This record gives sequence, structure tokens and C-alpha cells, in this order.
Amino acid sequence: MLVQKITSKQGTTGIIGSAFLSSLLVLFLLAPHMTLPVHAGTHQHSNRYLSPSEMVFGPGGKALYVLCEQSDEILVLDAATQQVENHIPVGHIPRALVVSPNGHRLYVTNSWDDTISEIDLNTQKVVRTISAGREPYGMVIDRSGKTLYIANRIGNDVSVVDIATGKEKKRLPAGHGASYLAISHDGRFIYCTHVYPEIGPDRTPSQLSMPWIGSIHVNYSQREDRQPPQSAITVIDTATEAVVRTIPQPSVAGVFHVTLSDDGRLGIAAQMQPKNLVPLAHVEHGWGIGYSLTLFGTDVGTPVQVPLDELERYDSYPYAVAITPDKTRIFVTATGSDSVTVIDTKRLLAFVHGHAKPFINDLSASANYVIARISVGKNPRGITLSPDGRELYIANRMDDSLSVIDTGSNRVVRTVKLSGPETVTALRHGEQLFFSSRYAFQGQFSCANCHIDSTMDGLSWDLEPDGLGRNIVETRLMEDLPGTEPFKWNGSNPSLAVECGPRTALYIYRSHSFSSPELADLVLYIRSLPPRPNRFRLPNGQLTPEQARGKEFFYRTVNKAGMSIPRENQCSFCHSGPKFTSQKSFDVGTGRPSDTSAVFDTPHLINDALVAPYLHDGSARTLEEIWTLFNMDNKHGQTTDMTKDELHDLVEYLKTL
Amino acid sequence: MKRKYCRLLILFGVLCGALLFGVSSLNPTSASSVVVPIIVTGAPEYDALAALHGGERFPSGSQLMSFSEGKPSPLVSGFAATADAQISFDGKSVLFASKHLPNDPWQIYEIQIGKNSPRRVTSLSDDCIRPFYLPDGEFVYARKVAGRFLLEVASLNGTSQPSRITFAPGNFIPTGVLHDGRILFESGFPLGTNGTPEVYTVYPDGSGVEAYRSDHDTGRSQAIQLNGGDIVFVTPAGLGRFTSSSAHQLAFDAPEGDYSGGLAETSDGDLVVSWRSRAPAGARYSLQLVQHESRSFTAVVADSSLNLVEPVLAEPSHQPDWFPSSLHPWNTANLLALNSYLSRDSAIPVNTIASVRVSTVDAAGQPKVLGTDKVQKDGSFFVQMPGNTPIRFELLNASGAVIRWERGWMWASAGEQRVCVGCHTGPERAPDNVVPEVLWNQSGPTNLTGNNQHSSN
Repeated sequence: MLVQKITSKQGTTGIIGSAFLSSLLVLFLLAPHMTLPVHAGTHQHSNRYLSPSEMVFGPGGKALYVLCEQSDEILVLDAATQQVENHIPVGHIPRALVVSPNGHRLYVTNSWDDTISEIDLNTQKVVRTISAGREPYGMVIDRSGKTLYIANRIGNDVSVVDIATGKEKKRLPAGHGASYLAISHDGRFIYCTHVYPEIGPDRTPSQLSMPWIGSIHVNYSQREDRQPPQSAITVIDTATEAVVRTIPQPSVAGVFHVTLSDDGRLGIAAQMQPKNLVPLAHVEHGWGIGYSLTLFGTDVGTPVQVPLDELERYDSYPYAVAITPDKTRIFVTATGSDSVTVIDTKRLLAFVHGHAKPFINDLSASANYVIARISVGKNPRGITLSPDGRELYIANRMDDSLSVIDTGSNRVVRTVKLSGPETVTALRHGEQLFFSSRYAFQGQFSCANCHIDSTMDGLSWDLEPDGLGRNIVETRLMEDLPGTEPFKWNGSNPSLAVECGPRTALYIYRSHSFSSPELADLVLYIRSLPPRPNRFRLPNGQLTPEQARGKEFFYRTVNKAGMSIPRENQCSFCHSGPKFTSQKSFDVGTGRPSDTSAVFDTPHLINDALVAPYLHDGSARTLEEIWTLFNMDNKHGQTTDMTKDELHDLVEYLKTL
Repeated sequence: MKRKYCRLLILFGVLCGALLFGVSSLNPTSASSVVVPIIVTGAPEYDALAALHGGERFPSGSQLMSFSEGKPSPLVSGFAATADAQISFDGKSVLFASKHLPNDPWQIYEIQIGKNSPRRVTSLSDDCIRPFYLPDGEFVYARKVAGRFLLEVASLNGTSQPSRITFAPGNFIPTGVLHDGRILFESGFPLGTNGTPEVYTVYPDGSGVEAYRSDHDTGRSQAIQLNGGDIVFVTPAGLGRFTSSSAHQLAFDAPEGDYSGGLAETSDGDLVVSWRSRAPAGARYSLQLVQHESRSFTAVVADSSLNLVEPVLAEPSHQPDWFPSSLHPWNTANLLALNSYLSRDSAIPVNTIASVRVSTVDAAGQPKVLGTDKVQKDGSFFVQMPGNTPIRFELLNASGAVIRWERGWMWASAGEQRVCVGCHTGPERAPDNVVPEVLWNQSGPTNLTGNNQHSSN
């Protein structure tokens, strides 16, 4: 409804005329800002959702290649008309794409196949499939076009692949969950980020006791426990194909895209700053997670972190970054906030150089350099600038659409609907809910912030209901969950509906959270998440000799002295059933003084190689540490009689589950 | 886009309707106006801030009037006085305060728009004013107890007892409900005093009370949240504004004058303000329209004998988020301060804070010390204190001298676990991600309840 004033001095004709003309005038003025959707092509809609997540322009900017994660394909769009001209099938769950410097080839990482698809851009066919590391994610190509660099999320490394032979030349160590890469404009350096924090000391043991080292009493101070998460950007020299340095990112966990300005003076990485060490008793004032950028390069000198949030609005979570060719503007997608943040580079650098550091926890800082927050589609992910820098393309992953922003006016000028089902199924709706931050207090975070790409965050958290500083618990992997109930480390939540419903609303989201129908859709989505392919099994399903020996230990009923192992101390007693959980809780001696109870739910072991750190509070950095540091009294299986090699065999078997 | 075009069509229809049916107002000023539809309180006398001192805002009575297409009509009949209209989120009902007879206390009623059969919502012997709808079938209002106004939350259908949510000295008057579910209210600054009017927030369960911003100024009242999220309020100089991005009050350009009669926002972002000129003295409040982009000022409706105040628009509005209360079933509350050295007032030199002293107010209204607790080297402390009780903190040095003290009073709800970054750091300060030392050294809070039998953790 409207409030409108009419001046009594006007005559009737004048009023009618004014009103009519005013209406026409307003219509005319609004026209340039209309953002009517453009349908990309006349082809029939796919029966699979696309989930577009990354894009790249082809040579001369004539074609736009759009990577679609869920339909396993690359869409070829005419950049001028935004019409889809072709679909190129690739491997399973593609994650990144690059065009060769000569413009003849397109390379795509297939994260669940551990391969790279090489596409001839003339024929628009896959001409070769190249083997990669474990779960290849981000990728860049060197300026010569001879070498691919691929970040392997599970491998925690970067593969260096010779394109001519298709062979991997070497693997370079990178961070935990290495995922995104960028190459400097001069081609000399490559920068790699990682999505999970480095696994550092969390809890120090009071005693080390294994046959090969004897018993050592260790008196570390409790103060060494629970340090802030650490991340780092790995810098690779393309001349030597070696890691030359790292850029520390203190108190950061969850780093996504990194990019560099064309002049090479400014690098930017998008990231999260979890507040997992302070009790999550409320979430206002950035108490849950902060969102920020790491700036590095000669423009800033010492690397610095700058916040993106406001006092009552959050940039959940920053994913991709683009810098205009003239470096005047920076664009950042906020995946859970369904928006793009626009930063004035000059003001940003002036703020960085003019204010005392640190200012990372100042929620009013962003007012100094953020000049716009532009609403786009659901779950915006990758962004790319048109070659002339005048338009910014955003892949709206949960909408199967692209938003196009005029970088001069900071307005959405087009929304390009890609193919894909017209209707939103309950499963798709559940997925949209999972990635949306609008259900948490002030939109601070979504499920996906702690379950990155529906996995975990590698962190342990201090939730409030059990008391402040008590019952610290690690975030668990979210795959293959049916048949693993109950949930929560103390096993108190019988179903996902309880776990994701009232518990989340009360103690995590601190807001209205999901309605009953929404919760049903969300649970449907979470239950549908399959396990990733196990990279440790042989293709023929058989076990290696060491895995086979480890299996013997897993199922053994007597110890090496020939004595029977109590049933409850046999690995396969608690870790039983198809998913290696009895779905019951036990005290395996891993409780700590701050735990209300030492009895914990038995986690399933599917893909347990991927979910480090381990134990309920994330205090074991590796599978080995579960027994070498935290199983002094054999309550967590009979292991003290095992040699180092035997324990290694057991671990190798566990990785195959 | 469709919504914008609909608005244009409605606008066109309104204009044509005005032509067909004519326009009128009370005693029209030079510009006759159409307001579609708007409810306003008309009162011969109006003292906007009287309730902040426990006083009467409408000493000569008041009546709610509905304006539709410029024509005034009483919202309800049969009451000695009515005021404080608030529209339900679906735009179909109105909560308001009224006196059935002149000497009756103000009570809360609800009426369906277009009907004249109001339903009594409160049945108390105290004045109940300024009701606001909350999500999930509840409402918040100010109730006058022992001469001062406190806030209560109650169910609209009367199925539960009213729940008090403010527990400090002073008066508390709600002015709105934020999109995030918090209640916006005005009270004196420092909180718990009769000082300068200031804007505060509290959750509907009484937890989390705090000043909306910590750049305390010369006075703020009548705060509302606009559709875009900004907070607009009345200042002694005119209007002021808070945005999500700034820790400080920003200017709100509008013509000079007194805006104390309150304001409302149209769905197009314009403001309807109750305004009067500062001269001559005693001028009446009239309704003006402030266009949101040009800030141009247009008379909407005025009356030479009545103040037209507290305008509301009778249309649907966005329902705020529902806040799920996670209070524990305790009589006490816990407070964890991460680093009491942090303060926006001025830094406290390191290694100078030795302890924290917690006080309350006794039955005679005098401060009463509940106890002291050690402050850790990193500035953290963790204390248990009485819930639903005025609380004040003082930081002491090793000699027991006060280094920094809270000038007002706060409270924590019974069962609340309150966590603070520091002492008066302001809402712009997010916490550092470190485990506070006190959580290494203590397994629970120090009992400062004044009763050793209390246990909450």
C-alpha cells in the first residue's frame, strides 16, 4: 500500500494527467533496471540439475564455458547471446576448468574419477583422459601451456603433470584439503589454498606407551591444547616446479579461491575465521564464524586479513574473488548469503595502510571499503570477468543460472537460466537449504560452513548446552549416514530430524531455522549424500598384503600371546555391521576432564582415511595416534601388543573401508 | 519486478480513487492529503518521553483514528482512550492500548481491521502500553509496576502467564521488533537509570540485553527498523540512523523540527513521520511524508487541535525471525568475559586487573555486593550470579581499588549463559578465537549468587 499526497490546488485534469504521466515516467525509469531472465538456448531441459560452479571464457571472449558439477558436463555458451550451443560430457563431479594459452584445449578436473578431461575446443570432444591425484580440484596451466598444476583435495598435494605425455612429473606438498590454485600474471608463481585447517596439537597425552619406544611420561601443559586453526597459501615456483614459500593465514580455516591482480602486486584469498575455541553461547557480533580476505603482495607488504562482515550482516561464506583488469574493483561471491560483495581497491588499500592492525575482528571495518552487496541467485560460486572487464559472470550453483553484473553500475543486468529441470524437487530443495545462510541468526552461516561441500571442517567446537568449556566435539563427516544413527558424539540424537531440527535451531542457528517441511527436505538431502569413492582399495576389490594383514588384526579374537581378547575390546565388536558401527556408545578411554561422560557414540568407518583429525574431540591427528597416544590401557581395542608395522597394516586396512 | 509494477498500478488506482471519491482531512492545512490506509493516535496533549519516567504520554486522553483515502474515522468506539496501534504481520489485526473508562488502567486489546468488536488481551490492574506483535503468537508490551514500566512477553491467546523480561531499575518501553527477532526498546542511559534516552535490544526471553550501539549520544528514542534493515530514531536534533555497517550514528537528512511523535515506513521506503515545528511553541504534531531518495517533505494530514502521533500503516509486513529460547532451567545465570581489558572506552593497562566485583540492588534500592572473583591474566573471568536481577560489574586492581566500573545496571535471564568479548567493547567487536584462560583453570563458574546453594553448571 502507498501513502500519497495530492495538492488541492491542482485541477482534476491536472491530477489525472500528472498521475498518468507519473506512472509512465516511473515505468520508463525502471526499465533499465529490469532483470528479466534470459533462457540459454532452445534445447530440451536436462533431467539432472546442473549446479554450475565455475566458468572460463574461451579465446577472444567469444565462448563461455560453464562447468556443471551435478550434470558432469561443460556447457558451451555463445558469449554474445548467452545461448547454450553445446554440452560436453566429462567425468564425475567436475570442479575446475582451464583453457590452454593457445586456446585449442580445455582441461577439466573430475574430482570423483581422479582424472583430467582434455577437450579439443575445435571439435568440442574429450580427446584424452589424464590420471590425476586423489580428488583433483583446482587447476591452472603454466604460460607455456606445457604443464598442468592440479590441487588434490584428499591428497593434500599438487600434481605437476606434463601435458605432452599426460604423466604426472611430481607431487608437491600443499595444505590439508588443497583445493584452489591461481597463477600470477607473469606465470612465475602458482598459489594454492586448502579448505581444511592444518592439523595441529589439540590434546597432549599424559603418557606415551608402545612396545618399540617403551613408556614415556610427557608433561605438556594443558595450554598447548586447542590452538587456533592455521592455514597457509603454498607458493610454487613454476621454473623449478617446487614449493618456495608459504603465506601464513593464522586463525583461518576454510580457504577457497585465490586470485592475483594483473599487475601482480595484489593477491587475495577468500576465507573463514571460525570462532571454534570460544563457547558458542550466542552468535551475534560475529561470535560463530567471521568472513574475510587474506591480502598479500607488494601492495600490502606483510600479508593482512580484512573482514567482510558487518555488525548485523555476514558475508557467508566468501568463495571466489575477481579483480578488474584496472584493479579498481574487487568482487567476492558470498555463497550462503546469495550475494556478491564489491570492494573499492583504493579504499581497501588506504584502510589497510592507515589503520593499526589487527582489525580482523572489527565488524565496522568493512564500511571503509565495501561499496555494494549485490543480490544474485542461490549459492553463487565461481565468477569470471568478461575480457574487457565490463561484465561479471556469476555461477548460481543452486539455481542453475548465471547472473551478469555490470561492473560500472554494480547492478545485475541479466540472469541467464541454463537448462536443467524446471521444478525443484524435495531433494534439490533440501540441498538449497543446506547451502543457505538465511536460516541462522542474522544469516551468519549455513550447514555448509561447517560441512564444507557436505563434508566436515576439520575443527572441534565448544557448544553451549553442556556448559562453557565442556564437551568439546569434532565436526563429523556427512556421507553415507543412513544406518549410522544415533547422531551427536554422545549419541543423544536418534535421528537427523532431531539433529538438524530443534538442536540446530536452539544451539547453533539461534534462530527460527527450518520449518517442518523444510527440515524434511533437508534431511532427505543429507541422507542422500553418498560416500566418495574409496581411493585406497585396489580396483579389483582385493586387498594388498599389508591391508590383508591389517584385516586379520581388525577381526582377531586373541592377542599375540594367544590370550583371548575380551569381546568388547575387539575392533569388530564396536565397529560392526555394514558401516562398521554397532550404533552403540562405549567408553574407550578417550574421555578428557572436560567431558561430562567418557561414553561416546561409535562412529562409522566409511572413508575414515579422509576425516582427520580423529576421536570425539579431534585430538588424534592421525589414525595411528588413536592408538599410539590415546590407547594406553587397551580400552580402544587391543593394540599395545602390536608392533609399529602391525599397527601400520591395521591402519592401511581401515583406509579401505 | 512484478511487485514494483503492482505498486505502480496501485498508486495509479489510489490517485484515480482520490479523484472519484474526493479527499478530506481533519481541519485541512494548505495541502489536503490521502493516506492509504494509516492509523494514528490523536491527542490534545502529547509527551513523547513521559513513559521513560513512568509518566503519562496522553494526559488529556487520546483516540486512535484510521485514515483511508484521506478520510478519518475512529478505529474503535466505546473506549475512554485508545493509543499505541500496532498492525499484525498479515495486516489483518491491530493491537492497541486503551482505557475503557477514564480512570481505568491502560490495557491491551486486539481488533480485526474493519470490525468493531475488540478483544481484551490483558486483564491487569496496572497500565499496559505499547504492544508489539512477536512471531509465534506472542506480544511484548510495557507494564507499569510500582510506578515504572517494565517489559513483559505474553501469549495473545492468554494460554500462558506474562513473562517479565527486564530486570533493572528504570523504565523500559518497546519501540519495535527487529527482523532478527530481538525486541527494540528505549530506556535511560546508562541502563537502569533515568538518564538520556537510548536504544537497546533484548531477546524475547529476556536474555542478551545490550545497547544497540555503544556510541552513546545526546538521546535516542522512537527507534524503528526499516525494511532495508537500517534503524531510524528520533534525536533532539531531528532524526538519526544506524546502519548494519557502522558502529556509529549516522545523519538522517530531514527538515528541521521535532519528530518525537514517531514514524513509520511505507512499503516503498518513504517515511511517514509525526512532526511539528519548533516554533511557535506548542505547535501540534502533524503527519508528513519524507520521500526516501530526495528526502523531500510533504504534508499528509494535520489538525489544529490534535497531535497526530505514532503512525502505523495498516498493511502486511515481514514477520521477524522467531527466536528459540535456550535458557537453562536454573534460577541463576552465568557470565563469561573473554578479556576484560578490552573496552571501547579506553584500554586498561595489562596486568592491572586483579579481580571483578559483582553487585546487585537490595530491597531498599541500595547496591549490595554479591562477591568478587579472580580475573585471569588474559582478562577472562567466569561467574555465576542471580538470574533476573540487576547486576553491576567493577574491575579492581590488586589493592582492591576500582579501575573501571559499570555506571548502570544490566541483568542476565535466569538460565542464561552470557558471553562477552570484554567490558563495553561495543557490538562491532567480534571475539578473538582463543580459549579463555579461565576455562583452563576452572571447571565451572565462580558462585557469586550470594547463595552458596545455587548451582548451575
